[in-house]
Amino acid sequence: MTPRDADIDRLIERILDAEPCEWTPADTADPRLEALRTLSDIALAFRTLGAEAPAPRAVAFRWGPLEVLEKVADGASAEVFRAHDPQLARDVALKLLAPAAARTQRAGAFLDEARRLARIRDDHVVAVLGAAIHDSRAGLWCEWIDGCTLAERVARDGPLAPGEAVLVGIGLCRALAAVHRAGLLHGDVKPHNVLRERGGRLVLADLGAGGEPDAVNASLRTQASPAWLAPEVLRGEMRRPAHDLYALGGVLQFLLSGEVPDPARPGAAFDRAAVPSGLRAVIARAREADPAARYASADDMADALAACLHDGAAAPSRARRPRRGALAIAAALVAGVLLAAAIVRLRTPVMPSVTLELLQHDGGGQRAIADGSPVALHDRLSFVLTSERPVWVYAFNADDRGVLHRLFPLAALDTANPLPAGRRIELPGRSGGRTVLIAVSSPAATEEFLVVAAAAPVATLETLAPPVAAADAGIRLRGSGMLVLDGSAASSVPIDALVRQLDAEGRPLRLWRYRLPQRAE
Amino acid sequence: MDAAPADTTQELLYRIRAGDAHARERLLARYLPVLTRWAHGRLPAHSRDLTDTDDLVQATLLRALTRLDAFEYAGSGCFLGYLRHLLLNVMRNEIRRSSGHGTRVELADALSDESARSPLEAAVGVERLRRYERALATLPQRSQALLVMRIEFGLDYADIADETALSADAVRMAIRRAVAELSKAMSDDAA
Repeated sequence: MTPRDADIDRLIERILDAEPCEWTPADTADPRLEALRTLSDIALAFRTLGAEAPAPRAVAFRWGPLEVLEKVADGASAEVFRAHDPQLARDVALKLLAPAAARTQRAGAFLDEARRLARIRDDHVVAVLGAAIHDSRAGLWCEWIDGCTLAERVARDGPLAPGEAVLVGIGLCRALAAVHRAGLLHGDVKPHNVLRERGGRLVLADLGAGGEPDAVNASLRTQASPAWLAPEVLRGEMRRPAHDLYALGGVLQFLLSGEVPDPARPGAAFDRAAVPSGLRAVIARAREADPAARYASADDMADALAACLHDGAAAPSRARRPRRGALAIAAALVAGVLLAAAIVRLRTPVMPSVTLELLQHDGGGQRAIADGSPVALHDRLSFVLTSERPVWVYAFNADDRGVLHRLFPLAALDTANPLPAGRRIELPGRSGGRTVLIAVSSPAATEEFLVVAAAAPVATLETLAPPVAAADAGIRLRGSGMLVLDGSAASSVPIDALVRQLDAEGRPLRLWRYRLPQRAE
Repeated sequence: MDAAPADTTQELLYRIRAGDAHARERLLARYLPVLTRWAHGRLPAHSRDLTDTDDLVQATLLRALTRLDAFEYAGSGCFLGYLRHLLLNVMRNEIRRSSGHGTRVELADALSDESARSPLEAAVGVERLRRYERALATLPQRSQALLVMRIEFGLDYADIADETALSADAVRMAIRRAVAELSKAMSDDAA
């Protein structure tokens, strides 16, 4: 029996509406009907499976639009809960003014503070999402960060390498600079208040403790742990931004040594031979007993830390090899000669021979372009690489602010490190059988790219601007929300500093840097 | 909360590229439940033990949004179809990982193990599902996207119209044609 077209049409309608169809055993003999039956089963299965929502989590109580799930911290002035925002389908951290504190702190003041905190926009500062009063309780909610604190990280994995500590320090300086620019203080900078989100983004948290200098000083005088307090605050003076920098110096010291600074010896010299002298000097200045002798601002301290990268000071001094100086001079000379050309620095002779081209795609064609070639908005680019041996390749794009965005490797790409030898590989690569290209999507004055090839994985680059990688089984982003987008895929390490750090690490690798000015369309 | 005008996905994507955080939230709110529901049927139980499906979906969606600025997907097709493709890739990795060895295991191999069946495979049958996937892959990109939105994600025609900038009637017609093409490809495959 051949099914009539009208019957087929009716069946298709029912399948598309996921309505059950009646099938006879004879239908399976007709390949077309059997195919439709399969489709019907698939449509029904999806509809049924869709009805099986994941097991709901127990809601402790509701507060305004939020479903409050569990208490995660309890303080004298506030309680912090994990909550769920069903509208946005994401988890949030909800901080509610504690009933006891509500008697002494007006809800209005609490909300004012939330508004000020919400003014701070920085990748490294936890983002405030809202503030309100519901059921007579004032609260503010911010992004939920899934990760661990730096304190937990050090307890688990031991102290950080100097290079990583410097990068953490720069991120936290930028965060504090944003806080201070808003006229606020953090007031309680310590490793327990810095979160490392899965994926690598660092977030300065517990800003709810911070706020207007007066409020911070009033609320924290008795709460903060003395190990992180500057001598003047221990003496009873008011906190100022210089205090946040002192605390940050202590955090760096902790990250490098795994030891909490001794509150009995505030400002004591941090003397670890394995930590480069330049970095020790930054910590020493941040922890000067005299606030006036510390860095004038968090940005200044960030610059000093970045200079550690510039100087190669992030590498332990004893690991420095005598030939580095000569290489650096040679590299400088090369850079001087090849101003307009792609800057290629051959770091060591053991690096496999790698060639790299930058391609510009238009219409149906593509052409190789040199460093300095103008590009326009919406141009499409890719890299083509061949190597005589398998190589690990990392590609980054720097935006106008110098923030690095990772272009390769990315979890969603089928193309992955190490790239095979002897073949022409186009990057960023393939995804589902299709080629992914880089689109010039922002009207920056200059597009800048950094491509690094190495004979082995480069730890510094593996963790820099990490993609939200499914390749890392541990990564979870529940409720981490929009700021993850920028934070997880970007790094505020300047491209120059990164190049210098790679140089200082002395690994065999090759770097290509392209600066492509944008032409007006 | 006031009812907001229904922005099309294309409009939202455009605004997200321009840095509109609100648009990003809207898109997340629109896609997360749909994708999560879809993914729950797609992952074998033992993989779901290892990685919370919700997290996987959210991570994938966030990553896709992150990449909007730097990448343009080379090819046509709707954003939801693109997300489905990304998620399938992520899930393959997840299944490989949870199968306990680091070597590359094709999805089909992992699924030959009864215990590794996803709810969808348990309901439909592995071989029938494979035939469907193979046939789907032979269709034009646009037909694939339309079919997946209706059959897998269960979107109604008006939503699909928003996704594709077609009228709802045109969507309905196009999807019917696509089903006809798909069933033909599947029956050819079986022959």
